[in-house]
Amino acid sequence: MALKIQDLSKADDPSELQDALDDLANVKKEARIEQFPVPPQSLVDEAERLIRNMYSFYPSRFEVSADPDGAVAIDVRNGNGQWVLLLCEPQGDALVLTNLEIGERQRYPLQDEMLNCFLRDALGQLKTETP
Amino acid sequence: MTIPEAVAGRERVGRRVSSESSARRAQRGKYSYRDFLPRAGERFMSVDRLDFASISDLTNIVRSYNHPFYGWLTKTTEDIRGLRCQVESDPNPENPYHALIILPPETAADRDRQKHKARELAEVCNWIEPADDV
Repeated sequence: MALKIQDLSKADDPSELQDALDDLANVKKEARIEQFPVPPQSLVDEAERLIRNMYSFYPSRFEVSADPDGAVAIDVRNGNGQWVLLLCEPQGDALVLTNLEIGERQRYPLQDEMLNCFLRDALGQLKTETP
Repeated sequence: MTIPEAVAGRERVGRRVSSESSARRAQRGKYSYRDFLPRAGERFMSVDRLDFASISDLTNIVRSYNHPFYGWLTKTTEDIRGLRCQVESDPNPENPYHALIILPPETAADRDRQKHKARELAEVCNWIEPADDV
């Protein structure tokens, strides 16, 4: 299914996207400081595309950080105790973890699909239940 | 104050934050799964029992380790047990307030499950900064 990209000018608060991208720009430095494996630039680029796609689907403040195993972590929460944690892993997988009814986790190859069905459904559920 | 051996349900325990970036997020009320993530293959995490000493005394103990330290992410034992984790006291001569969070057995061999549990633990916390008079 093709992803429908919304016009970002209609998003709730474009500065939230910029904040997430600023965090991403800092993620390699953060990994070095924390003495984690540093994610390769190709993975950071993939994460940026993913963040933009996710934001177009569910505009909110994503927390982007370095993961101890060299992944880029994108943490999305809806303020109602529900969350989706997406890990873009250096081996080329995306690991989606949630506390939602649709399931706790799914792993998929990052380059096959930017926003796979499970992730899209998870973000959709977050959106539906945002207070 | 006497420290009971058993960790009661209403007790608060604090996970030390040694990462400046995690601390910055915590100050905004965004708590990171990283701070509740044991090493790969392990299930145990150190915490401090916060209800039996002043923050100044606890800060003194933690700073004596000479590790970076920015504050504690705190939770009640009841909340932690509600996530199928155990909390057990584990005092030592340097830190009589030391305790352990023990993740469920199935997480030990499964890094993805470890991260899921860590994210669950990070969802509802409070942030306590070290005493600045120490």
